[in-house]
Amino acid sequence: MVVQSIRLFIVGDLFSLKDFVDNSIFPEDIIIKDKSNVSFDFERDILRIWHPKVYTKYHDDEYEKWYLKFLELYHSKLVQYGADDFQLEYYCFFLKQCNIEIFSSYLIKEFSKFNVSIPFTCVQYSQKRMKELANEYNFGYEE
Amino acid sequence: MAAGQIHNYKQYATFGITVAGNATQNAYAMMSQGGSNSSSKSDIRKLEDKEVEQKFGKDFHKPGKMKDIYKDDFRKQLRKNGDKNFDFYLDRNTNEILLKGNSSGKEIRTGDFFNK
Repeated sequence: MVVQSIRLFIVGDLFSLKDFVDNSIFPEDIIIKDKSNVSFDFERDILRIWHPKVYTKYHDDEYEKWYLKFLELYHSKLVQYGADDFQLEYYCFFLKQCNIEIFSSYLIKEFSKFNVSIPFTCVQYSQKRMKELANEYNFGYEE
Repeated sequence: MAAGQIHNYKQYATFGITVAGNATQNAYAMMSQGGSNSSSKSDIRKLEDKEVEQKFGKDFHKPGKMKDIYKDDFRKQLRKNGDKNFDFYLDRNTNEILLKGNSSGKEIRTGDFFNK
């Protein structure tokens, strides 16, 4: 079993997160009502945002497209307000073996337009830990 | 489960790729190891997962947890070194926790200490 999670990390030496937020509109499929899928660090101008579904099992094209949609909607404005470092932080939690597939050829081509980096963090979990994670985030545990 | 308890996952790896026009060239350029602020190899060692758990709790690697907090705190130094990701290391002499960039191989001193 492999569980994946992605977060979009955005910073820049000249980035003004406040100006970006003040001048942007975020529909609820981007930032959900309780703002639980975003972290605004206004003091240090760090933006982290992630899909409302925190974890996904195996390859999930729709999950990945959400990040592409965000970049298509906001990349220009983020650059306008000084962002220049876009990272798709990719987390992978696996049992026994880690055989993963991320980003179809189409998606990787589209992401490349936004000059993103993809730092990976891969962690092998025990069955116990994976069950705990599955229970915490309500996805079905599999051997 | 209390922080400090030892868990059973065995591997913890970080790495990254850059998706851009000259990505491969950039990645290779950044892969040269060492640097002016690198310690002698004998002075530092990689922290085991269970040691990092003792210090930061079992979820240190999960999104939004301790590893991300260090990344945020030291983002400027990581960026200067060309790093997007890092592993936790220890200075054997002082017990200071270091962040070792995956691309540059350079260490960043955190000012935090690991006390067994």
